[in-house]
Amino acid sequence: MSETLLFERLDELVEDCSGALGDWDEVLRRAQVAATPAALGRRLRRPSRRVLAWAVVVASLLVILFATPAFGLLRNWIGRMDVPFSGKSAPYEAKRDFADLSIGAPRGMDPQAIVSESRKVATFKVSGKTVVLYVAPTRKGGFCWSFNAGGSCLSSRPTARTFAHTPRMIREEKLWLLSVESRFAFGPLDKRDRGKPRAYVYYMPSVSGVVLAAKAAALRLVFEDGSSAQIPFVWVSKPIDAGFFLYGVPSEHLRAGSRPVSLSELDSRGRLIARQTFLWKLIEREGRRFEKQVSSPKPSPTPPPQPLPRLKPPLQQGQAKGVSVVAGKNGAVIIDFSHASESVRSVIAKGVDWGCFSFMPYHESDPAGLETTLSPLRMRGGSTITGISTPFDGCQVEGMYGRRWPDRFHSHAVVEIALSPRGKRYFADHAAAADLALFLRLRPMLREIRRLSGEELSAALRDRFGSEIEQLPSATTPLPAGRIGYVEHPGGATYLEHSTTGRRFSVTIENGKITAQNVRALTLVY
Amino acid sequence: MNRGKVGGVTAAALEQLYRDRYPRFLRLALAIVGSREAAADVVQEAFARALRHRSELRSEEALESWLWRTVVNTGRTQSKRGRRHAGLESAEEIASSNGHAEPWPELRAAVAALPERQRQALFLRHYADLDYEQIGEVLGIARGTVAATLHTAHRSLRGTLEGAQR
Repeated sequence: MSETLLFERLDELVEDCSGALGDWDEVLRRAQVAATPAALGRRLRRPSRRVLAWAVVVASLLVILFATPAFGLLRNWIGRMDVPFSGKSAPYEAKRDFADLSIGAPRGMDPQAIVSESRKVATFKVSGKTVVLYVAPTRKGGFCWSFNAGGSCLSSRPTARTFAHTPRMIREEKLWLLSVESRFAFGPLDKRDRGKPRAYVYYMPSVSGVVLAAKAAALRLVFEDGSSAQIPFVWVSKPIDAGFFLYGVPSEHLRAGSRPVSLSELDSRGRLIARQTFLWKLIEREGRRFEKQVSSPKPSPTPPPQPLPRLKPPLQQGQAKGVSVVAGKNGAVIIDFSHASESVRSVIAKGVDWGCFSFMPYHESDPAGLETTLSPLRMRGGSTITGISTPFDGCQVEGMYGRRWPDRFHSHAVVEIALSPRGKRYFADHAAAADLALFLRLRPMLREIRRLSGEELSAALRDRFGSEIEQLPSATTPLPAGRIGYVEHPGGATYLEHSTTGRRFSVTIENGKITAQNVRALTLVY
Repeated sequence: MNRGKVGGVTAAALEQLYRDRYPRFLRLALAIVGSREAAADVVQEAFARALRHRSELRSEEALESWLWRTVVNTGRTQSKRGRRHAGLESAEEIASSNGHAEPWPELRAAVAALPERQRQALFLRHYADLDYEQIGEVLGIARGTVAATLHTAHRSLRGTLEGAQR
């Protein structure tokens, strides 16, 4: 093996971090917190034996309480738990979720989360799963929160107007409580429905939300059958200054007759501060309307053409397959299909999704983008893409058709317009990763072939794909870009595809399960 | 002016270094700890330490070497403390990890099996992109020793990989 090849392999072992941006504010915070004389003093002072003895007793009691069913009792007794905002900094992924809340936000609606100040503040156990609560303050004095992923914001401190959009199936008695979640599922809901005809079931799997009254001490969930449960919540100190709750509704309270019917916020004396009542009749009526829409969808009328946005210079321009884009510094983009090639025209007849993307903080390896739908046969469209930094790295047009390997555009988007060298590399890498992922998602692969190994696997791949894929003696064997190869090993195989940029993608499957892959960051197929 | 005699570095110099070199520090930490989140944490901690102790650092020239060394040490400590992710120092976990392992498992295992000095030199060369002189400063060894250490490491990795291909 040559030294160059070894160096290439070593390079591939560790993800490329070029373009990654750090968080200097957080470095300052870490350094200052630990460097304040008071903090140092506290850290260096040795606790007395008596304090240590008490600490051991209290810790033992807590261990006993939390490790036994008494935990439920303890949790009810606690109700509200105050946590300081000066907790652990949120991980990169959580920060990215908060940063992404700005993408596509209409003018004036950007929550402006201070992402570098995101914190991990608490964990909840819901249906046996651990869910982490992350929070971030906003520049306008509000806050954002998320339970594991996604998230919501109150970008400024709430007022009566903030609550004007509360769904009408929830009756608000006061303004200091936000919730909740209701769902409907096409049955069966559980084993009691086995054998019955399937039908829609309206239920509330969990209750989550925000408590805004500082004096709140407890949350009580009342069920249709008259029983109730206390919901614990955490109160996060300033600058968040709000409480958060997430409660998995027990299985015995999922069915009509015993579902949650109201959520009350109480002060330390048990007096009502606020209450939300869930109007199940309205929830079910809304659900039935949706059911009807799903079972017999009506074609939505073609929206009238919108005026094209104004482009602010300097402009970026690009074109491919006769499709051209012009983008302004303000994120406004105009796309023109008037001179599109035949292959593109065949796709736009059904309408297309198009959008532009950029590599930016929290999107160093997978770009952030926003897509807009262009109605069928419309030749020109425009959109202002907010929350994505400019200049853009590229724009693309996706057809509204199901993706299946081998893809008619070789796993590329229908039109790819690179506006920077990085955008060009992204298109090449994305296509190779998507191609490999689509191949492995083929029905025969999913159902049978990927569970095989040894000669059985080779024979099955030969029979099904012939020379379309190539057996390789080792993972280092050269493979032309755009071709899929595989290397057998005990229990399965590693499937490989190389991009024209030289980047190598691989997915290792052992006993039917993916044990290693590097395609996920670039393709949503998995 | 001999800055070494003056002693200490400014926060601005540290910030500049952070902004200029962050991707390289991150990649080095990522090689050691195996998860991006943990790697970012290592880099943040190294710079926070540098900020706290900036008055004790003898010069801006020495600062960079000190930071690389701190990232290596903090990363190793973190890697030992919680081996949840498969960094290149913990290849034994690769086989059991589900869906998060990287390509070239034989090479990963071979890197993990290198003696510590060789592995550190390798990381500093390939992921921090330092030259032999800088690696020598970080590890406290002569330039010639760096060259010999890297030569041995490369030969060992080539041997392992050629053996695996046969």
